[in-house]
Amino acid sequence: MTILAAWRRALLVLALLAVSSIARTQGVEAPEPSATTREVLVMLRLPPLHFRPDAGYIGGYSTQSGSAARQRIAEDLATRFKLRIVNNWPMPALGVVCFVMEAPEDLPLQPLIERMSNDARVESVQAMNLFRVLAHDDPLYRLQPTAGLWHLDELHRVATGRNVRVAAIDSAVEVDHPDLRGRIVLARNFVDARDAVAEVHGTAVAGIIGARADNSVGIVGVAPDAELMALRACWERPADESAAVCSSFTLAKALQFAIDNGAKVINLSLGGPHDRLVERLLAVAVSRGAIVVAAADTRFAKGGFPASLRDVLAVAADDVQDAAETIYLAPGRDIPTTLPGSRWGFVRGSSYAAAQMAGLVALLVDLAPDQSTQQIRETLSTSDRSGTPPRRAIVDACAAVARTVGACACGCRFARGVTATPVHY
Amino acid sequence: MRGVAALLLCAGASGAAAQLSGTLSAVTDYRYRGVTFSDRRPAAQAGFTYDDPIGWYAGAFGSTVRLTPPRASSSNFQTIAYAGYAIRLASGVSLEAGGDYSAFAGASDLNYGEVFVGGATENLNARIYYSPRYFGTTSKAAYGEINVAQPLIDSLRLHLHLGFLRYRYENRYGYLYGVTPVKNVIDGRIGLRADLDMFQFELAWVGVSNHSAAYFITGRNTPNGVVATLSVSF
Repeated sequence: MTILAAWRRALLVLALLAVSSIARTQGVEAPEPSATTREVLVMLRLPPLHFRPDAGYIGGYSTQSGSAARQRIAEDLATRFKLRIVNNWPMPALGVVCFVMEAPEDLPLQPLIERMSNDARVESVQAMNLFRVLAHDDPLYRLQPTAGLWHLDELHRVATGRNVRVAAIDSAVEVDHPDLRGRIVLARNFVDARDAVAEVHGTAVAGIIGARADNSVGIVGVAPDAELMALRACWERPADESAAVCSSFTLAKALQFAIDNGAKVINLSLGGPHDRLVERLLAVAVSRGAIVVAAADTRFAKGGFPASLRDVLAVAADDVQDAAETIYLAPGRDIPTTLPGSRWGFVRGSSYAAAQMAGLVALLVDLAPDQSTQQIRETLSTSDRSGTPPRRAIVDACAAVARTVGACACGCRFARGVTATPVHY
Repeated sequence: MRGVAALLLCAGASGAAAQLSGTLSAVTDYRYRGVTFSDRRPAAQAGFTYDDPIGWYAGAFGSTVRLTPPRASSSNFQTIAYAGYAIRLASGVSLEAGGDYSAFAGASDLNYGEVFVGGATENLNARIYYSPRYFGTTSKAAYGEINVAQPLIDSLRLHLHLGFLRYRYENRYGYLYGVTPVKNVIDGRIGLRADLDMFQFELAWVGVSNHSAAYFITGRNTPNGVVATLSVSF
């Protein structure tokens, strides 16, 4: 470690210790949705766009006259099945409009879903699921800079995530945080219509992925030049800031937005029950070239949902036990990152391991924009260098970058005859 | 009999899943491909569309008009019937092919049909139309258009339209004073559209490259101008 690097690290420790006394965030007035466990998602077909000579008609789902027809069908379904329409959202990626309908307390959901699925007007129907972020906020944990483990300084000479659009589907991000100011190209709130109040999990994830580099404060994101999209689909409960929850509906809306806006990397630091709507949207995102990274919940086989999906990169923190072979390990302990209130603190958990992986994937996409998920998998293949007995190894970021560029990426001055070719500075 | 019963069942199921929608509109000036069809006066319009669940669609559109083409009967109502097939690809792009037939009450000599193909995304669409007998003449015409709808804020959109008509002018009425045979006509439209529940309001500027381009159809010249549209969807 150079003297300069040692000083930077010491200063970061001091800065973090200075803010650690206030590292717990203030209470957040997060909205509670209506009783999601009593809600069902009813998908109605969205006809393909086509010729209409109606005056001024140009296209677009919000102005299409057919929306009134679908509302009429939804109202008829609600009357027939004794439901209340709560909300709706067009999802052209699937060719559907998703209506949220609430069932009365005395109506069993599963038989209701079966009966509704037999209605010819319904494209599909499912229960509203809840997801939880997979993290623990642990502000005074021992400092262990991940920048050192992955040699970020050296990787950033080769790639910084420039022009790679990364969607962080999470809780609200503090977009004017000193380390995130100007880094968020799009921020949307899919939870409610109010202005989002910064939340811990989303702000921490965004900072890990793309905090500004070389601004003399805070941390360096894994992909400091990536174009971050802060898509709020989860909300924190005032009683427990670290336990944000999300629903099928909010996640689906955020995924549709990410698809529409060309997200190349989608980070989902969350998990929950299998959800058909979310799975379908993820499949569309992947088919359009997005790389999806999800936090793995190692209590479940293959990491639970959505991490267990075939085309999703499942990531767990490096301290978890018995992670399946399909799950990548990334640093998940003592990660310094951004927190609401212009602060920094330490976090740990698979959520943040996934965020780091999303940043790394952004670097790889920066280097080779048209990579598929399978190609990224091959690039990320780990090698066990820990000796006997063998154990799963943390993803080797330097090796992954080296495989992508076909040249040395880290410690190149020690490599004979092989040098990295800088792409950006 | 079984086959007929199966067909009826399929039709019933399809019908239940089909969607019928429509609009009622009032416009300060009915512009058809940039040209006034209402003599720069207000017009009332209505349209409906039937969407089959597998991609077939059909519909009709009607508008009041004020056409007094030289040496032909006048008309005060236009109907456009159309049908086609559209499919949404995995990429999110919709492709379509179809045809439409435009008929004028009291002026059947202006009736004509055309076929078209096009593609659309949520905020962009483009189509090419071809008619072997444009407005009842022996002339062939091709029309291409590109439309963009750019969201500005939640309920406000910027609409842009650019159209190009390639027309082989063959005047069956003989020489018309002051009319120059026109082969290429460009029309454009730029507007702001606000959506409020089932109502839509648009204020647009409409321009056409040759103001006398459709004189033989309308009997009027078309200056550039501003058009307001109020629609209700059902």
